[in-house]
Amino acid sequence: MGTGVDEVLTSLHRACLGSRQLLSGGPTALLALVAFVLTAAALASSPPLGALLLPVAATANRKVATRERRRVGRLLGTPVEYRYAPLLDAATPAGHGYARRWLTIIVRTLAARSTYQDAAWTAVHGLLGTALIALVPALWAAAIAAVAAVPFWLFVPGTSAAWLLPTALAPVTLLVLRSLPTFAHAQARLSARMLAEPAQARMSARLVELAETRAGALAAHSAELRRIERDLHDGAQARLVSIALRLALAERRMTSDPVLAADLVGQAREGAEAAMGELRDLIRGLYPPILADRGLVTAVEALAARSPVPVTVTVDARTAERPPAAVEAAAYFGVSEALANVAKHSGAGQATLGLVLDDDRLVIVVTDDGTGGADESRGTGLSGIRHRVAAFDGSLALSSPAGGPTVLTIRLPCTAEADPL
Amino acid sequence: MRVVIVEDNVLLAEGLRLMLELEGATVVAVLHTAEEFLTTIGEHAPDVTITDVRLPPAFSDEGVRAAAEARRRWPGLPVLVLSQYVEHVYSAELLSQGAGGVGYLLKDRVSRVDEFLDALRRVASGGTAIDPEVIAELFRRQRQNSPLERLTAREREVLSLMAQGHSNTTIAGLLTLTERSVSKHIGNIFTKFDLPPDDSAHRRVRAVLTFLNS
Repeated sequence: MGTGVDEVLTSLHRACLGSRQLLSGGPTALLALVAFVLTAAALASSPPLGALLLPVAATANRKVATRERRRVGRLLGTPVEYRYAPLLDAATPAGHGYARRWLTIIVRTLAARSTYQDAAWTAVHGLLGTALIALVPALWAAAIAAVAAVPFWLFVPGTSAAWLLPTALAPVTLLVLRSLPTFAHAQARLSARMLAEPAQARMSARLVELAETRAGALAAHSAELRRIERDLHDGAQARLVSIALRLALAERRMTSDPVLAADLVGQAREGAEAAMGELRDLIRGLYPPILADRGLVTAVEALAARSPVPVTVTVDARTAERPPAAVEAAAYFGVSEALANVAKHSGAGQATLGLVLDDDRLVIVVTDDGTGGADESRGTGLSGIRHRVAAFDGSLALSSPAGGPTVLTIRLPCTAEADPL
Repeated sequence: MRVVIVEDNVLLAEGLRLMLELEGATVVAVLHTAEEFLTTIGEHAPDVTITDVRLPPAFSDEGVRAAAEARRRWPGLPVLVLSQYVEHVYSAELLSQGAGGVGYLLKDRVSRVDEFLDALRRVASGGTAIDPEVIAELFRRQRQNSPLERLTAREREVLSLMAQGHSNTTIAGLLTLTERSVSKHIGNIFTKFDLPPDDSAHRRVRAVLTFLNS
């Protein structure tokens, strides 16, 4: 008995879920249908007029398709993305009048693969999607009729047995209702497939991105080399020269003027101490020793402990592997900069730092309860971190509405192997 | 004073040996690894051990770990840890084992021979020697609601010298105060840190620990 009730409840649950999922495609299906019919009508009635209106139709299709991508991305759990080529941008000649501009747009529309992809999808989704949506109320009506027909046939005299047809078909209705989630998923997969960016386009976009990353990495590395060279040259190296000079003088005056010699040796020692301090600072800026000794988690905790604003640290390390040293350093300096900004500018009383580390990525989120309104362009710190992170194909996102809260997110891939896509 | 040096870098080890022997200490042994330190320290029985933080094989924090481990096995074993850089995480770890006889200094301090030997003797006789840089760093982060906020400027000076390991007499000399007023300041610090009455050596270490962990 219990299993029977369970069975009915499961069926009902699946039927409701499937209906909801299918109906969520309703708006895009109807819009696609309208777009398809209008485009077809425009092209059929007057091809020149249709061609003129083409960009309008293509733009409308892009909007509907984008909406559908978001919907099926949510439903399937894997985002469906598409980088459209812009139809109009700064490169479009502006001073040549409307006709030229419109022509450019038409040419671009015709050249874009997405135009045909979207159009094919509006046809399929407009017809199939609408049909599927219509199926939902029809099925529920059939189910209700199947139950209602029995008392009707029993108690209303003169009712023909034909009225019992819905009841006879009940098993089929139930089966279809139960399968609605499967339909919804199949339909979503079809949309996702038709609307997916072609692998080649994805590759070339990724290639552009990687080329930029590589250029950024080169620039960052060169700047770093120059900075180290300058620091060593102006700092420790110059100090050593002056120490050697003082020691040589002291050596010559040792017997003739011991007081002067002792003074020179003292100056040499002070110079050596200063050089040690400078080298220590330089090393800290390259690869902080605590990071080398204890790893990122302890190093970040030490940074948080040093912050004047209390920071709550949560760590979710799903792997025992340490990220590559350069990635750890980028993450460390990111956190250091973020916490320095919290202390200096945010006016926050509390901050949190979340660190997630798994096999292929490292995510750091720093949140504070301050006044917000952080502006990356005002200082050099954050943009420095952005470049550093970008050099490793990572990203930095800053959200800081006036009134707060400020959320800084740093993502860094940390696989050692190359991952082109 | 019988000293054991644990340092894998020959230049630094020989420099230390030269300085200590010229100043009248006896260098019993120069060891190169944390493992040697742990296995032979019992037989060398030095008055104090000086160890580097970075030692073979991994050159990370073997020295700090070995010092902590040695002090677990032989409570109160005096160890002075030398490091190319200071991190207050380490000083708190070293002190957290309670009893004194611990030092944590920047390698740079070696060049101030008198101060260095003074710190070494303090550690050998069960006191503490924490690098001024660690203490300066702790004062730099001004936390809201930290017990440090309740201290007056003078009390901070006293606490910082106390944390470095100086005695009341030295503190009085360094700040040109009378010893009586130094003990008064220290009494105030204990009260503000809510440290219950206790034997004073213990209380000093606890006050410094409160400070390091604040």
